[in-house]
Amino acid sequence: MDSEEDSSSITSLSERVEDVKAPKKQPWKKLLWYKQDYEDNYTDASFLSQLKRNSTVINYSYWKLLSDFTLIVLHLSIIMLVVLVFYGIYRLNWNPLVPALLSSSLTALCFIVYVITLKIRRNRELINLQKLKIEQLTRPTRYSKFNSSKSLPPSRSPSPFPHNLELTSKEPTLDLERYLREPNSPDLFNTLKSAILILLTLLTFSPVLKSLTNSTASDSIWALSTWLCLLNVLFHDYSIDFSHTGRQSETLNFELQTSNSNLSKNISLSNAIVLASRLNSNLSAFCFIVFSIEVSGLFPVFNNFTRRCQFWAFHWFQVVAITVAVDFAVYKIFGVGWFLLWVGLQFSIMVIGPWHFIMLQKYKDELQGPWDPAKPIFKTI
Amino acid sequence: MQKSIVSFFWPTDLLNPVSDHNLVVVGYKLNSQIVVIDYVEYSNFKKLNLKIEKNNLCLEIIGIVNFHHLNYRNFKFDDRTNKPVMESHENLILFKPPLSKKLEYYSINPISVDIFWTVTPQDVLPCSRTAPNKLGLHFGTPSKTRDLEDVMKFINLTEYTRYKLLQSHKTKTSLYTDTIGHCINWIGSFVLLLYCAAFRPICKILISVLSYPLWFNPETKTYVTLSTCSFVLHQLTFRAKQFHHLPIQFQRLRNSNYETEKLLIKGTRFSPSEYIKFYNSLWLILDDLLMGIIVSNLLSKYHNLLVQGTNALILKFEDSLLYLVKWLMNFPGGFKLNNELAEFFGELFMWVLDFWNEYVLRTILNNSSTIIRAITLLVNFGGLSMLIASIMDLLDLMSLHLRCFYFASTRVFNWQWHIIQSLFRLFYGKKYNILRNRIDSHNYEFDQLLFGIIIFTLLVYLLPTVVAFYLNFAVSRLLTLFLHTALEFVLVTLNHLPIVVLLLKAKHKERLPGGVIFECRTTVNDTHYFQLMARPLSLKEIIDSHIRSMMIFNLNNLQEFQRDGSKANIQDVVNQWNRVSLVGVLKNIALGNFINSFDYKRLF
Repeated sequence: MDSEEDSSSITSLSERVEDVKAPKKQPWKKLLWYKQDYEDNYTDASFLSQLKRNSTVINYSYWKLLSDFTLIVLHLSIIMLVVLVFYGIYRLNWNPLVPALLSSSLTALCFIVYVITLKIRRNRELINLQKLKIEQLTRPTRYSKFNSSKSLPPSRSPSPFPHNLELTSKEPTLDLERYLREPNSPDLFNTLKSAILILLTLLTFSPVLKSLTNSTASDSIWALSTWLCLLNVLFHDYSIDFSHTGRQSETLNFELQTSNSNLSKNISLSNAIVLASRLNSNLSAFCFIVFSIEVSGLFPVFNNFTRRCQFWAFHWFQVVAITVAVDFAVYKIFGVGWFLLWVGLQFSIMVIGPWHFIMLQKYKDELQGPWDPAKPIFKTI
Repeated sequence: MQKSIVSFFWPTDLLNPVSDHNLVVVGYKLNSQIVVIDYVEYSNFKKLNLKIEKNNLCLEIIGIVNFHHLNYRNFKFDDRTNKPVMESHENLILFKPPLSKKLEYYSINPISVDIFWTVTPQDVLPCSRTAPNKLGLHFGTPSKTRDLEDVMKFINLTEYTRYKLLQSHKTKTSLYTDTIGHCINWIGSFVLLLYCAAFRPICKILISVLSYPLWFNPETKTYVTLSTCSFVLHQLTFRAKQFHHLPIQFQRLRNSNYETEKLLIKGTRFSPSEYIKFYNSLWLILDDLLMGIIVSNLLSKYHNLLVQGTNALILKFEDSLLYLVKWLMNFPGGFKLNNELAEFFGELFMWVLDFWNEYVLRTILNNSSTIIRAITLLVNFGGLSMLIASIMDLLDLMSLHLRCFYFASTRVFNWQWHIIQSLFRLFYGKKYNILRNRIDSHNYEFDQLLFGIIIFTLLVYLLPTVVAFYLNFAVSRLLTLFLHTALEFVLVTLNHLPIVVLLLKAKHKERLPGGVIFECRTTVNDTHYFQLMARPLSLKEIIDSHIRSMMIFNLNNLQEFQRDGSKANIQDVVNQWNRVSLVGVLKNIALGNFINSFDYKRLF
């Protein structure tokens, strides 16, 4: 910076000196093919004015980070639950029907809750939209969009729609459902059909699945399963964050965030199938796989739904319940040593993790400038 | 002013005339080339009619020897070198006059070797010399090349011209030689007529019966005929076709003497390989039949030994196959396969093997003596190629069950491999987009994922078992195919070797001109002269030309088996031949496609 200031002062001096002799130079412009009066290696003071440093730094709050890291702990607990149930059926001769029936009944219950909640939310949104439309229709004249936004009364309920939504358009009958942002609740018939299909397929394939790895030694199966679990933890999509809706930033449109990467689900399913091939009877293989599908495949969907609908109390209830249950089961089945290790791991992730993350923020040195690829801004409605 | 260079083409047998008579040198004059043809005695000169034919072959007087004349140039010969003395602006080019009765001649372009009876269309093959031809079309051939072509023409007509000159001042001809010549001609025509009347229709009927299209295979878009079912029948068809085309070739050979000169005078493109075809076919057929008689005698002498050997071989073959399948079922090579699946496959194959052994191989074992006697009889009359054809047929028959196993396991492996590939993409969340022919990401539903993962894991675990069985049968098919292709190559050599051309190259090179060479030599007197020599065809050129004509023959044959809608082109023939490459075969095995050799029965 100093050298630049020096050079600028020197040039200004030279400029004043040359003022007497020659006409004033045009100010330097950052254009490549434009012939200017300056020499080729001239560095203007305004050269790096578009450089932005650390523009993406977010000031993380410790408690927010803590709640995000609990998601990791939750995922770990789910995996541990599957392993525990397998251990129970394989070693401790549990009745395989028990976990399967438990998880199936819980799934059915949660599905009912899911459907009902979605229906309620959709209807509420529809009502909001209709109110907006009525307000717009009862306004006498139509000014420009900016004026109308000022004249609108402040909305009572947090409407997710931008205020300049023009509902009074040319066509007389407007299909309001086009503007809805909540997803439709799943079709009951289709869901039932696919569930029955999966169950029957599993039932048919369970003898094959049971004897799939008969000739492989058990150790290789344990090793394979460990690697799959590790990969599952690594590849899981932890980045879904639904807690932004309290504040409305000008660039953020409220979009429905879905996970695009299904890799972790696939890995957990393969893990379940691999483990199930070690079990003794067809029924136990079938029950274990059903349990594992429901726990590691369907539960994250339910959890995402809970967080998206902002049922924070329910979400914390789920987290605490599952974590405590898994901790207890670990203590009971594996003994004190493993229990302590497990709790220590959870604690370090939940408490020490965020602190370490925040501490590392001060080393962030990120440069951005006009040389980066431009990010397109999508305008909706 | 410098005079333009004149070239004298002088035959080597006219160098130093021994007689002291007055001779006149006659020849052809072109722009700056002079071709000397013959000496004529001055006393006979006046009776000469120099205009030979109705065409424009006009001999001119080049010069005179041993006497002086005002208008014409006197040639003096050097005593030591026996060559005519030339002025400083004249070139002397010596050439050995070609004996056109023996079909020797000079040619600027190398001739093509063609022993097949197909007509060679000019535009089928991609010509490797299109660039000079195209330049020539734009700018026209320069006059110098045309002069050289005309000079070659006159040189080739040397003997003919000399004959005509001799005839025109000879008054009486020998009646004796004429009558004998006419007699031989007459007998030859009679034999030919007999042959055409009696033997040829039989051949034609045989060909039409064996090549009658039985049904149409929509997959490969070709017809299936009797001759494509078995090698013996195919060989029979081929032999009949050869006999069918023989008279035409013989006729062409008989006309070749005066046809040669007629074509040369007219200046049309002449390929002397017409006469090669007849001799080649005859030679190959005789070869085949003679060797067949020898081999059939051998076979009948060692009949008992052969029968025993064949029986033992068949038994060993059965046992080894059973052993192979059993080996696969129980941890082959220490690999741990899926027990249930391995057992299932093993039982299946063993059941088929037992069935096959019981019915087919037992009958062959019981009747092996009869079969070998039949083959001996066939070889006696059909030739050595019949032996190879019947061996191939027997091989096909006996390994039919292997072929079925190979088909079954290839299909299974192919499906499995493709499904695994597609489901692997599902693992990553991607899908193959048919519309855009690329891999795109795709949002799968949860139940689709579930289903896919289950099937994927299943198939991945069952893959080693399937691969073990597939590789086994693929290798065995490869071995049979290898044997098959080797025998097919022997058959091709027996049936289509250009043996006459090779022999000509060995003994009488002048009949295979592949261009001309001008060689500069010095005499003892330090004068320079050129020697014109014909370059015989090199072996590589012969082989290249032969392969090219064989491909056209293949193309003609392929086109016989197709419907009128779809015409094969030369690329199909090339594709067929390309199947015989190890890299291609290995690639097909890895991908799970069927491996095939070239289709001998349709190409030939």
